Amino acid sequence: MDQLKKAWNFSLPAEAKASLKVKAIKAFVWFLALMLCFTLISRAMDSLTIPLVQTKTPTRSTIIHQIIADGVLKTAKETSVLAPSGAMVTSIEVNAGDMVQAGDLLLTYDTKEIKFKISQEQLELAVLQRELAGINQRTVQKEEENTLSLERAEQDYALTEDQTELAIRNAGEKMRQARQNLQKYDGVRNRDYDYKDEEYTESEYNALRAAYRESVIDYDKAVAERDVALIHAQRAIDDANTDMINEDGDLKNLQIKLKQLELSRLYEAVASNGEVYAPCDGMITRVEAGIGSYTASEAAIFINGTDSVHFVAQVSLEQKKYVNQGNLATIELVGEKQARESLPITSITPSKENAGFYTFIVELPSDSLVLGTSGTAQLKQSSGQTYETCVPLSALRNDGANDYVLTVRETQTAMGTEYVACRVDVVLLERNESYAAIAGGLTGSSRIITQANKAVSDGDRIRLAERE
Amino acid sequence: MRLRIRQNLLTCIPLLLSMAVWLPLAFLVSGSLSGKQEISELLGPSLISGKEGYADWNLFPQYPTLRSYVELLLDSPEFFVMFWNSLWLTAGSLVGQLLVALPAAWWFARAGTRFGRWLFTAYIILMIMPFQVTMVSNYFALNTAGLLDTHWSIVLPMTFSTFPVYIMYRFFKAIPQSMIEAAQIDGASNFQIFFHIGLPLGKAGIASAMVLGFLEYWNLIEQPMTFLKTKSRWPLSLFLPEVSAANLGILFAASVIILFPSILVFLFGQEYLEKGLAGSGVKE
Repeated sequence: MDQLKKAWNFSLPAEAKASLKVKAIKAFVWFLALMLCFTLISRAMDSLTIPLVQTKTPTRSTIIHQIIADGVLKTAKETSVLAPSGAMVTSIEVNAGDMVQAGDLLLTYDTKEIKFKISQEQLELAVLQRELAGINQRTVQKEEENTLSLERAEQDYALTEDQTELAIRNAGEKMRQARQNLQKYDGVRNRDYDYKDEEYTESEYNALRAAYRESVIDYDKAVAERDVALIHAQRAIDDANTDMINEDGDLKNLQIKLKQLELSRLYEAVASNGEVYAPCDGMITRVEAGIGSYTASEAAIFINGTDSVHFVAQVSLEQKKYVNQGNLATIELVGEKQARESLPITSITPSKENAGFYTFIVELPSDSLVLGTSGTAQLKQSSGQTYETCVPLSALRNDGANDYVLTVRETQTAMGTEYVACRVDVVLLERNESYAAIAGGLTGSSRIITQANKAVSDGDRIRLAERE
Repeated sequence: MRLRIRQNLLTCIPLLLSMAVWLPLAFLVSGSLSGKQEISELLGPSLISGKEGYADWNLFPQYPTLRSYVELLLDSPEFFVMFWNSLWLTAGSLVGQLLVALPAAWWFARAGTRFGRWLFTAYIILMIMPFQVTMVSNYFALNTAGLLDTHWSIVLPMTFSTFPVYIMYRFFKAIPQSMIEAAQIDGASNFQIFFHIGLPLGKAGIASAMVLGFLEYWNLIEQPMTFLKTKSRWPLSLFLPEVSAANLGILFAASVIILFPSILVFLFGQEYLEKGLAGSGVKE
């Protein structure tokens, strides 16, 4: 019990108490200093982790789609110049890249060859014509033969008909005779009242009946024979009656026409004195013919006409929505100080080279333009509608399914007034390269996060870079 | 031999009793050193809705980590805002009491007029009223004065608190009248008597009032909850409810840190505290 009392009344000695007091005060001061340090450190770390954002309030405006497309000047049409084939080129007056005007001499060729060819062709034509005449004659003869054989076949038919008819009649007569004989014999026997068996022998009757049956068979045979003979005769008529088709003659006719065409072309070539002229103004792009060589069936020279020039450029499918036929474009060409304004787009078609792209064409007046000059076309297309809520495109976010923006919300926390990013789902109405018109959940005074130095998502604490 | 065993056994009883008192503190420390995973596993059954079972506890963490402390001290600036708020509220209240309660207690102890006794009785009545009783009138008064949602709404009522007056009154009353009279005969003025006799002799009372005050105001929860709306003005006692079940580790670490000043102040004022408690019980 004493021990318990001692424990109960336990007390530190006076010096220990005093030193404990001092230690406690010292420790308290140290504790406060430490807390001050941690306060500063934690604030510094906090400010490092919180994203710094820039905000903007939505504006009321229209969305202007500005489309800039690079393109080049191209000819509206490429013309090929054909020299008569098989002629030897004696001189070529132009080189690729030359500008020519309609009527300029392009190349000359030797007409001797052509003239020789004309006589050759004429002879061949004469041969063909002679052959045709022969064929025609043979055809007439054959037709006559055919008529004759038809007549003969018809005569044969009539003859056969008569002959067989006669045979049938004979057979019929024989059949009647045999039947009468049989009936007669039968009747005599029946009318003979004192009839005796030995008088009328069965063998006689049987012979008569057999004769009758034979005559019936003969008659049927004659009828069948007639049918077969008539069918054969009819076939002979049909065979003789077929029309004769004059295939060889038609072919020769065509060959003659071809020769005549060729000749007329050769006449023309001779008539032009072996000179080929430019059919239009333009630029020589290619010269296929060579001096001393024979012209082939391909074009000898290609010309890009400059009487109408196109500015050709491509836009993406996305941009195509805002490029329509008739829209006005401003075109700046390299080397030209003044942009050409208000030029209508004449056509827009899917690009053949780049899938997903569209080629649009702007016609330009041809005054002293150099084909191949590059330039840019600029188009401005207004949305035509004023949107209440327009935000910079950088403010628009997408989580894969929905478009949304992050607005700034003030919250009261232990740290005072703090800002928190708050997600607002929106519907994208229209956008261009820098602005987007959106709808839903926003007021004109909402502050929308446009930029942040770190990734920000819904509910994150943020710091505002500047106050509006 | 038998006697020694008996003596040792007798020593063990208070040790065991004190263990029971110390256990929660040990749990607190071990919790603050445990990882998130471990805490939610142990406390999960009782904290997370839909789970059946009771919370479990390890005296020593299975995987000790200082993560909670690092997170609290380096990543939670709001904790420090509240810490300094708490310190300011406590220090402000104590300084105010030194300015107001100290002279008041001296006057009550020494004046001895009838009015003084009446007033003191009123003080006592006020003291025994719990906060909840005076809360509404407090609220209206602070609202009229425009002090709501400021730190003054805590500091000013505490400054005029009656409890320290009562504690110090006891100590001042204990100073013998003859000593005062001797001083008066020696020509000491009232101020001189207060500063040279009252304060040194009442030192223990003042200190115990301050220590008790510190312990009370450091853990103040109802007044801030009622009068402070802005989170940035809240004291530490309101930090704990702010912590969600998801980061219980921080809660334990914060509790340990919050406990720390109280322990230091207690160590500092242990002696005065004993005297003060004893003093307030001494009859005249």
